[in-house]
Formats: sequence, C-alpha cells, structure tokens
Amino acid sequence: MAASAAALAGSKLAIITGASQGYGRAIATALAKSNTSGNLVLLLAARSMEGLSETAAEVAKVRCEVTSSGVKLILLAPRLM
Amino acid sequence: MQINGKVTCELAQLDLSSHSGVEAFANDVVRQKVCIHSFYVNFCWTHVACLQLESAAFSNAVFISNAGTLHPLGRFDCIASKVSLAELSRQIDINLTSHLWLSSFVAAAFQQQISNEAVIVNVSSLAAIQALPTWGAYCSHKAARDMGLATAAAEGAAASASCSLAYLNWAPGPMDGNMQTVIRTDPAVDPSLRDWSSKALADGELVPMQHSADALAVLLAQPPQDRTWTSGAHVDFFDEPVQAAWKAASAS
Repeated sequence: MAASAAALAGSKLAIITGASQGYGRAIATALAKSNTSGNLVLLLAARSMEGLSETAAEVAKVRCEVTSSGVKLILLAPRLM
Repeated sequence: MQINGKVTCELAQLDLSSHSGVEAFANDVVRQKVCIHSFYVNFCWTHVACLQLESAAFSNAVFISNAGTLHPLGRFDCIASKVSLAELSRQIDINLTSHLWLSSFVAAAFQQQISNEAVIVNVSSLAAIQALPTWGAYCSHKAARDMGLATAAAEGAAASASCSLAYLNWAPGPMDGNMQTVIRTDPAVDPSLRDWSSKALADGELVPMQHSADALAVLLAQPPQDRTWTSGAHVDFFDEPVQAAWKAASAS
C-alpha cells in the first residue's frame, strides 16, 4: 500500500552506501535504534543484494517493526557498460 | 495514519565503479525516493470528496557515503608498476568520483525536497589528514573527499533551499573490521602500520564498529542549534565533544 502524503509528512530518510556489510551495516542498525518516533526509511545500497538482505535482517533484530513484508527490493536495469 | 517509530528498509543494488550504474541509482532510485508527491482523497466534513495534491517530502534526510576501497596499497613509487592506469582510475571511481557526483546529486535533491534538515556525511578517515605510509592512493582519495564537502559547506545553502543542509566529514576511528584485517595481513602495508594494528587488536584498542556507528547516530540526531560539530569540518570519533555526546546519550 502506498504511503499517503499525510503519513509521510515528518518522516525521515537515510541513504547509506556500502550497506551490505561492516560499517554500513552498523550505521543502518544504529539509525534504526535511534529512531524513537516517526517513520524512518532506510535506503540501503551496495553491490551485494545478499548482503543488503542480511543488513535488513539485522535492522529487523533491533526494530521489530521491520518485517520481511516491509523490505522492498529495488533492482536496477542491467548496466550498459 | 502515523505509525510511531516505524522503520522500513529498501534495498538497491549499486556498483560505484560503474558510471552508468551510479547515474541509474541517482536518477531511478534516489530521485524517485526523495521527490515523492502523492495524490490522495480528503473527505471534508460535508462529505464532499476533494482531490488534493500535496508534497510528501521527508522532513529530515541524511546521505551517508560509506562505500570505498583501501586498494591499491603499497609505496607511492610502486603504484604505477602495481596497477594499470585503468585499474587506478576504477579505484578512484569507487572512492572519489562516485562519492563527489552522488553527494552533489543528493545535495541538490535534498535542498529541493526536504522540508526541515538534511546532512551529507562523508565517511572519512584519519588518512584524510595524515600521511600513512603505503596508503598513498587511499590518503589522497580521502583528503579529496574531505575537501569536497568542506567546499560545499563554505559555499552555503542554495538560494532556493527548502531545508538547512550540513556536511560532515566523519572519521569513525580504527574499527575492528575487515579493513584492519587487511592492514595486519597484506604484505604491501608498511610494517609499522601492521605492527600498530596487531598491537591495537591485542590490547583491545580497536573501536567496536557499533560504538562508532552509534556515535555517528548521536551526532546526526543533534538539532542544528545544539550540534557539537561544524558543517564541513573533519570530525573524529575520538574528538572530545563526540565522546562526551556519545557517552551522554549512552547513559540516558
């Protein structure tokens, strides 16, 4: 279900590159832990989709609101170069 | 409907060594995510349905440019014999070109769409401000990244900016992770750095990754008027104001 304008107002967005492992993953979980109110959208980017899924699972451990249904996979078109 | 404390993860594939991949990520993912506008139907008290267009921009946003590579490692006068110009260019694409281009793209998008506060974070390093033997390429990439955001901060906000935008060059400290493993095991690394990392590991002096990430989250949660850091500055995990803010947040 698409979020309504009213629901998104006041929401926060965090875009993290290199989020499939290591420090990027730690930042994702830290931001999730620190989000005490309102909606936080974590846009996690990296080469490894498998690693990104593991990061999403780690985020879910610290914030039970994140469920598998809340994880949206964005797959880009194949690169031209 | 507002759901307090909800966290949603969205995952996007991104290869920073691919120019077309970085551009696709920016245009197809970041632009779409930041520039959300929604139609929705509002029923007023007279029960007449009114179709409204309302901007649904996020109130706060942060872009954390974290991805990077430590390679190529080795003495500066050996870089040319160790890697081709094309390979060095690929490493620069990952560490610098993509970072500068994406940060610029995101800065413009945030200033057009975010309604309150936004921050661009460069995950920096001590290597940005200190010459570390055998890290010539990495040091130069990190120094350039720092200067890029310092310059952006010096320029100030765009005249049409919809939000306050700050830039942070964040040095996370020597963390207990893959990078330190490379430093201890790669024969191309200067012996003094290998010895330092081995001793730091043995003495428990490496920074736990989550501690450093939590400290960054504390800095990002500070409202602009209470920030312990200045936009465009190089801020290190071990800086006293960072330690004080992190410890205060941990204790509360």
